[in-house]
Parts: sequence; structure tokens; C-alpha cells
Amino acid sequence: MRFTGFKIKNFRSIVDTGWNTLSADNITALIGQNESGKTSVLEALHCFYQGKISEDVLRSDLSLPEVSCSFSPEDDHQLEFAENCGLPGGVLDQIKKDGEFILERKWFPDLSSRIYLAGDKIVSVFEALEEDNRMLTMKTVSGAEKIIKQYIEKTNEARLLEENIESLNKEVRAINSSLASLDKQLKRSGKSGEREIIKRKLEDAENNTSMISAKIKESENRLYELQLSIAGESFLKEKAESCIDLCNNLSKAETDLEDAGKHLKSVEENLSLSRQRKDKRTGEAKLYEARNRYISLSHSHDILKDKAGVHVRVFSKLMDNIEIQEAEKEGEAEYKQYNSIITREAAGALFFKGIPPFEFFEDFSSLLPNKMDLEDIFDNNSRVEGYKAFRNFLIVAGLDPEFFRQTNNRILKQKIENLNNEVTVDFQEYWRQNVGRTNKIRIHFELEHYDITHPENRGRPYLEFWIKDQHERLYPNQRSRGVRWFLSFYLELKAFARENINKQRVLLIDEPGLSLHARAQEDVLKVFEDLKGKIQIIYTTHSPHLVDTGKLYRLLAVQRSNDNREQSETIIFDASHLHSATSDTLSPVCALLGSGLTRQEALDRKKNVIVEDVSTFYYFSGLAKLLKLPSDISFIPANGPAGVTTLVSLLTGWGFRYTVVLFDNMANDVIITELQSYLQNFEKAGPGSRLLFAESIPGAEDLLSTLDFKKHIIKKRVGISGSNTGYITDNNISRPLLAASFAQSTASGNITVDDFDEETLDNLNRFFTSLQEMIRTSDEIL
Amino acid sequence: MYFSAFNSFTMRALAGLEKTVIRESPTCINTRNREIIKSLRYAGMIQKALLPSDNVMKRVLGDYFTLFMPKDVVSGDFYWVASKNGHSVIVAADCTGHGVPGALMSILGISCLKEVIVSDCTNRPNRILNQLREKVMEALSQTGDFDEAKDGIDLSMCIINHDRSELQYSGANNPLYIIRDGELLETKPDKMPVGVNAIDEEPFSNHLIRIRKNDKVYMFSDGFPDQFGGPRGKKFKYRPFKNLLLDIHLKNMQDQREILRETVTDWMGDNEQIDDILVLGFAIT
Repeated sequence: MRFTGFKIKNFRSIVDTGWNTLSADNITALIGQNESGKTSVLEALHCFYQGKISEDVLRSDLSLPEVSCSFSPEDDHQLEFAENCGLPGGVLDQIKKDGEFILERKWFPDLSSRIYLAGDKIVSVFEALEEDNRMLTMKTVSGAEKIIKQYIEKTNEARLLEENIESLNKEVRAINSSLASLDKQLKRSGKSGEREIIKRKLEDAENNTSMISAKIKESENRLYELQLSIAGESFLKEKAESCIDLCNNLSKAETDLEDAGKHLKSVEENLSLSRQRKDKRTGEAKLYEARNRYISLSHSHDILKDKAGVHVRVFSKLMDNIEIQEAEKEGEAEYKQYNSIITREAAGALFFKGIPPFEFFEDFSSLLPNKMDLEDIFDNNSRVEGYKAFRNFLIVAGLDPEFFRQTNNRILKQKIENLNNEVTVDFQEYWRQNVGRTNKIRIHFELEHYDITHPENRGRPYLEFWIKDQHERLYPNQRSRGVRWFLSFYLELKAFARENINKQRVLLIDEPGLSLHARAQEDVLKVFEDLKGKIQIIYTTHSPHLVDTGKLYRLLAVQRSNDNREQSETIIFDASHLHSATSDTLSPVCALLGSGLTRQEALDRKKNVIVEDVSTFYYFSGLAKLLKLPSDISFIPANGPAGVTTLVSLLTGWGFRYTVVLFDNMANDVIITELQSYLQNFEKAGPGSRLLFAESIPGAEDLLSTLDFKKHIIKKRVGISGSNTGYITDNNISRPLLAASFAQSTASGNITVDDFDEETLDNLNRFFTSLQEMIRTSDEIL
Repeated sequence: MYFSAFNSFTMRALAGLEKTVIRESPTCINTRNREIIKSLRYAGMIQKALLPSDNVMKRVLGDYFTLFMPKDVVSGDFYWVASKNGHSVIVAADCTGHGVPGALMSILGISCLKEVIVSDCTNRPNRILNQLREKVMEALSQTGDFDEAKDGIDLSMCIINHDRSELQYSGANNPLYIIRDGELLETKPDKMPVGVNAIDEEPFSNHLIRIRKNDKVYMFSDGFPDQFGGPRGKKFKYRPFKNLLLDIHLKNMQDQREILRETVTDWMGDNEQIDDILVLGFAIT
């Protein structure tokens, strides 16, 4: 698992670094001036892994730190730990597709932190899941409210209908009573006129009665319908009420739990501030009470959450007219599935277990002691001074502590002698400095026994360490700070590499080898190179000797955003934007390569052509003039083929775009492969940079026909059956002199394009057309 | 390789002759001469073996003839053909001198020519001649100094692209004749040899000629037109040579060869053949 990039927010002088990509070859150097924030970057990364910060790292506006790191698994097997762990569907596939995942650690006001699985696409999956749940709850509650409302409306309507029917019945009864009275009157009446009137009244009353009866009938029918509906919906209404109650209760429980949490923290803080015993006792009692309340509420909340979750889903099914048994079954299953999906925080914790450990290399915490009692070794007494260094020493030597229980003194001594040689040979591979002209230092340990001068320990065995050279035998503490640092560094790193052959880790080193000589600083780089297979190294430095100019893609330049250094924020430039960094920040690079090229107005940002040597530069300059190539093309000579990669690194790092021209000769064979690898490392800078390989043309001179080469360059009439460059080499002629003379002749007009034969013109036309085409496409990309 | 083997063989023969003259008695001279002639005949066989066989000539040229009449047992003239990238390469060459020196040069020429054509991917005869000149100059250590030998090769080279009906010609002192519809078209060569020139070497010119079916192409050394003879013991000359070719070009190739051979033999009469004679003719099919 590789650590591929980081983003830091609100950490000391850092406001937001944006995403920074680490070098693909596992060695990244942070360069910059003092107080620029280099160490803050290392600390932030260490805090990302540790999870702990102190108040010192907080910015004055008290904005809380956030550190995000991206990791790339080497293959899908490295993600097996995340299979079937409750990640939302599609998350793992997305990570596999992207080839990396992001972990984000956020700190909170109490300086506690949480780590989350992050990344826009991943977050959107989690958010979509939560949104779906929220929408389901909202929709269900809304549906439940509607059902309750409708139920109430129907009940009210039924009640009104009942009242209406009752009223109509009364009316009918009254009419019936009046009918009886009219009927009597009719029987009694003898006058025809009067009888007619009574008959009409009777008819009217009967009509009324039948009309009201019809109304009653209609109302009764409606009432019957409503009663049926109410009876049918009462169950749904009860469930709806229950669902709403649960959701309301959950909402209240969440508020209560949050309040209880705040109260608990406040009680904890008060307790921590208490000085008086009485206050402490009271505080502890309050804390006990607050904690219990929080636990109890938390428990209640969880139960409510589950209940509400199930109920919402069940009720949602009921609303879709699914039978209750089926709805309960499906609802419970759905909630179970939803509840089994881990949160982004839980996913963060899961993935965190899969990342390589980050370690901050501590300079002198593990210095090799002058001596170490075997008793302490057997007792694993880690508190003894130098124990860690001694442990590292044993690991590097491939020795089990149990070996020292060997009673045969001869075997012990022999083994120790062999080990001394092995460790020294290995150490000398990295530490190339000599004491004096040729005297190399040796690491040496011996098994000794306390003598009479130590009566309390007399006879007890101990190991004694020496750092020897031809003339002196000194204890580690008597040696220089530089040697002690390097030895400590060597033992720490080698021990880890030996002990964790199949494990990776990220090693953060602040200013390695400050006290070392330039040569030894280069040795530190050598150790880095040796260990980079399994250990990713991120280090800060001011030293040009700890910067490999051939690998500038390893650099991240750290500086303050403006000159008001105390208040300005830290900004970071990656390798492809080094040109934006100040020359002070880039001082280690400038020290190695001279002044900053970005300040050279002679160079164009795009139309640069790197050529392998100064001779090619002269030829190209002369030919460009003759062929009237655009004047904004800059030819930049490398110092031989090996220097091409350095220039490529430099120009890429400083934001230039370029075309490299390499001729088809043996010296360039290796460079071509290297260049391709370099351009891959400069992933971001890759576009716009090109490689023109002049196949079958061994050198710039071979762009000219043999005849023109003889006429205009060597100015000799001699048979040349091989290549023109071969002739120069075979006859030991100075190439640069010939090339310079050619350039001079073209500049003075002694050679014109009409002097060339058709073969030369054909070659030149073909070659420079390809070159210009490359420059043009490079421009288009930019 | 051929060159060094031939060189060593001939040098040994010459050294043997010198020793014979100085140290041995006159009675042995005839014996030695016979041995030398035997050796030279053998050298001549080797030289002939280096020339392309009839099969190769037929494959590359189709309908063709060669009139190859060395003055001595070994010759300074040579012809050479090859197929390359679908193109036919045809060379008729005349090296400085004749006899053993000419033969040595011809071996050098064939050897260098093969090297250039095999190693170089160009199909332009002038570039091949440029490169051939470099090789010859290098082999003979020629630097243009006043007192050095100006040995070289006069030659004409054609590269034919049959698909495009194109013939490219480049010549070092030797012209190219094409007879088309009864008319002789002459393409003049560059006036310099393949080898060091009297003045600065210049690039050879390339001539692109459209060819047609039934065109007759003739490449030759100067041996035929420069042959002395006739009633007044004069050179045959180029005008009669052209007329002769015009007269016979419609005949089949073997008849043409026979007429040329008879004509030059008749022209020579009792006169000595002054140089190697080479005429190479072929028809575009």
C-alpha cells in the first residue's frame, strides 16, 4: 500500500495546502527556508497517523485541523480487508477503479479526532445512502400525517352525517305526527273546500316525508361507506400515529443525547479544572451521573433508532398496500441491511488499518550506548539508555538475544568477531567518509565481564561498543555528532527493513544529517535509495547534498505566501510548479544548478529543445539560422548524455516545456529508457514534453551529407565510409571546436543554405520539420 | 573480402615475376611466364565469378545482352546488377587502367558497391555514387594531393522502379543511351569519376527518366567508341556508335550483341585492343 498524496488544512501556518502528490519512487523531499512550514507538514502527517494534536498546532482563528492522505493499493488483494465489511455498494468497486482511497482525519474542539473514508465519489455514495434514508423517513412521515388527516376528516364527516340523519329522522317524525293530525281533521271535516285544503296539506307532508326519507337513505349510505372506510383505516392510522410518534421521539432522543453529550463534556472539563478535593468529589459524582445519563440516553436512542427505522420501512410498505405480515418482513429486512452498512467514519477506521504506519524518525533517541548489561537484554529492560539502539543493532546483525546465553566463550567470541566484520562491511557501504585519507571507521562490540572496579556487578557479562579506526578506539559517545547521528539513523532504518521484510511504512525525517559532512549527507541519500523499496521516506532539508538534481520530481517546495512571514500561510509547490517558488525556497536546487533558470529571460517556457551536448547545440544553432527556424526556439545543451536527464528534471520542475533530441548512438541507449521513466514520474508535467529520437542518425554532424561534412566542417578531402561522427571519434578530432567553427561560419554568412547538397537539405528538412511539429503539438497541449 | 583475396593473389604473382627476372637464369623465364599466365587466367576466372550470372541478369533485366571483351585476361570493366526493395539496380563500370591494375580496381569497386547498396536504404543512384566515392577514396587513401594516384571508376548506374515506370540514372563520366521510337536519348554524366577528382568533389546528379515499354537502354564503358581501327586507324567514336545502336536496336538482344562484337572486331582489324570493352543493353518490358 503506497502513500500517494496529502492535503493539510488549518495546521500551524498551513491554511490549505491543496493536494500534493508524493514522488512515485518513494522518496519525497520538502525544501524551503526556516519557518516556511516544512516541519509542520511532517508533523501534520504524523498527527494524521497518531490522531493526537496539541493546542500548539491550532491556528489563531482556532480553525480545526484536517489532514487527508491518499493511498494506493499495489493490487486488489491489498483491499481484501474491506470485503464484506458493510461498505455501501459500489464503494469498494470505485476504490478499485480509482486505484486509490482517501482518508480524512478531522479534529474537534476537544482535540479529539475522527477519521473518515473520503473522496468526492465515495462521500457521494455515503451521502446518497443517508439521503435515501432521510427521504424515506420524510416521505413516510408525510404519508402517515396525510393518512391521519384523512382518517380524522372521515370521522368528522361520519359524525356530521349521523347528526344529520338524526335531525332528518326528527323531521320525519314531526311530519308523521302532523300527518296523523291532518288525517283526523280530514275525517272530521264535512266541507268540501276545507277537505280539499287538508288533502293538499296531506299530499305535501307525504311528499316531504318521502323526500326527507330519501335524504336519510342517502346519508345512511354515505355513513355506511365512511364507517367501512374508517374501520378499514383505523389500523393504518394507528400505525401512522405510532410511526410519527417514534420519529418524534427519536428526534427528541437525538437532541437529548446531544445535550447529554455536551453536559458530559462540560462536567469533564469542570472536573479537570477542579483543584479542591471537595469540588473534585462533587465533580466526580456529577460526572458519574452525567455519564450514566448519557449511556442510558444513548441506549434508549439506539433502541428508538432501530424501532423507528423498522417502523418507517414497514409503514412505507403498508402505504403501498402491502399486507401487514409481508410489510413487516420486508421492512425489517430492509432496515437490517441498511443498519449493516457502516458509516463513513467506520469505513475510515477500517481502511486506516490497511495503511502503512507513519513514523517520525527521532534523531538521538536511539543512540548506541557505550555498553549494555546482558541482564538488561534478557529482561527486555527498555528503560535502559540506548536499549532501542542496541535492539536495532541486534536486528541488523541478525542476532537473537538468546545467543548470549551461550556458555561456550570461544563460540561467543568467534561469532561476535564475525558479526563485527559483517556489520562493519554493511555500514561502510553507506558511510563512505574516511578518517584522514584512507582510514575507514569500523563498528565493534565485545563481550566483557565487570571486574573488581565494579564490585556490585563483579563477574556479570556486558557488551561493550566501540567505533574504531586504524588509530583510535573510541566509545560511541566519544565520536562526533555526525557519526553518531548517521549510526543511529543507519541502525534504525536497517533494523526496520530487516524486521519488516514484507511490511511497508512511511518514515518522516526532519532535517536528516544536519550535522553531517556533505559527503555523509550524500550517504544519507544512498541509504534512502537502498530502503525506498519498502519504506516511503519524506524528509525536509536545506541541504543541496540531500537533493538529487537528476530526480527533481521528488521535491515539494514549501514557502510562506508572502514576505510577511509570521502571519502568512504556508503554501506548497509540487515538482511541476517549482518555477512558482522563490529562489530562497529553491536555494538547495539553485546551489547545485546555478541560478534559477526561470529568471533567465533567454528561455521560453515552451519552445525549448534539450540537446545532448554543446557540439549539437552549436550545430543546431547554426542550422536553425540557415534554415530560418522560428527565433523563439531555444536550444539548451546538456553536459553530455547523462546530463540530459538532469536538464529534463530541472526544466520540468521549473515549469518549462521542452523537446529532447537524442541521436541514435550507444551512449544514448540508456538515456532513452531513463527519460521515459523520468517522464512517467513527472506525471503532471508529462504533457507538453516530447522526445525526438533521431533514428539511424548517430550525431548532429550526420544530418549533413558526407560531402558537405567534409566541405563545411572538417574541410578535408578524405574518404569517409562510415558516419561523420564516427570519423571525428576515430580521428580524435575535437567535436566542440568543429561545431563552434561551423556555427561561426553560418553566423558570418560564410556558409549558406545554398552550399548544401540535396542530401543534406533533404535530411535537414525532414529532421527539423519533425522537430517543429513536436514543438507545435506541445504548444497546442499547453 | 574479394578485394583482399584477389590483391594478395596477384601481388604474390607479381612478386614471383620480379624475383624470376632478377635472380633466376633466362632459361627459366618461359616457365615462370607460363606460371604467371596460368595464375592470371585463374584470377580472370575469379573475376568472372564475381560478375553476375546469366540467371541473375535475366531475373533483374529480362531481355538483355552484355558485350564484355577484356583487353587482357583480367579486366578493369565490370557490370553488376541487383534487386533491392523492388527496384532493379544496374551498373556498368570502367576502372582506371586495364589488366591487373584495372582488375584490382574492379574488385574494389564491386566490393564497395555491394557494401553501399546492402547497408544503405537509399534508392537514389547519385547518393550511392557519393558513398561509393567515399569508400574508394578511403580505400585508396586519396586526399586530393597533387602527387597522389588519381585512380577511380567511371560508371553509369541505373535504378529502375518498374511499378512507376521510372528510371533514375547517375553517371560518373559514362553517359546513358535510351532509344525510344527510333530516337536516341542521351543523358549526360557528371564529369568526374568515382574517386578523387582533379578539383573538389561535388555531389553526383540524379536524373529521373520516365521509361516506356520497348525502350532500349544502353550502358557502356569507353572501350568501344575509343577503339582504334578502321581504314585510317582512328577511334570508332561516339557518333558512329550511336548510329550503330540506332541501326540495331530493333533486333533481338543476342543479335545486337553479335553485331556489336563483329563491328568492333572488324573495326580493330589488326590493331591491338586498346582497352577493355563493355556494352550492356536491355529492353524495358
